[in-house]
Amino acid sequence: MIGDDINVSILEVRGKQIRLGITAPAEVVVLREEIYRRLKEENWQASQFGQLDLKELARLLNAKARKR
Amino acid sequence: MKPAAREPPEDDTFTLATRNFGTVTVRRHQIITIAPGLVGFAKFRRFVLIEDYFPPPFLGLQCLDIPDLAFVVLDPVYIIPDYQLGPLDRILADLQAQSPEDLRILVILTIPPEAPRKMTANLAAPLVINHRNQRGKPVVVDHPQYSTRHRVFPD
Repeated sequence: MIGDDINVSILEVRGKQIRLGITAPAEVVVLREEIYRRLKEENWQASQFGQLDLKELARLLNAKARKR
Repeated sequence: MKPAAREPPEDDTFTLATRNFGTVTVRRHQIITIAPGLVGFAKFRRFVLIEDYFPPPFLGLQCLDIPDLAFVVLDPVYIIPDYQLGPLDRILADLQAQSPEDLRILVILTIPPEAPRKMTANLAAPLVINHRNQRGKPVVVDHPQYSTRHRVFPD
């Protein structure tokens, strides 16, 4: 256990590989480190959008949606 | 005996000077609480959707805890018509939602300022909001075709 409500258990041991099961409350994020890093970098990039003119791109998306 | 504190009226408003959207007027019932916060911004949990800044279907997502933090978001059906979150049980329970119809899905866009057409959508980590109680959470979708950098307008 980690604290009162995070449970870590070994689900399977196969050769050199271990499968871990982690049960945690909804407000706790459980991610593999490489995924965590990728999402953090992506969210940071996404927050740097500056001044944008999206009129033409919005038109393209709406036209595509109407065709369906 | 002290008089009971008066609850603020449901629709009382406040304004916030933001970096990206100018001065934004927020009604309290519009506030979305995202818990946990977005990866890398986990401390910041209160957001509001800005519907009238970008032409639809683009939306702004403004953080109320830090006025410099904002995103451009989009309903993923504009990119993948049958976009699927995968198993919904846990998501519905976490957001206290009764049915999938209560859920609003938004993907975060990464837009190079000098080349907006090269924008990418993070299809792998959408934000899911229960529009009935304004609770939201980021979800990681395990799907081979949903990448964190999906080109919205392929060359």
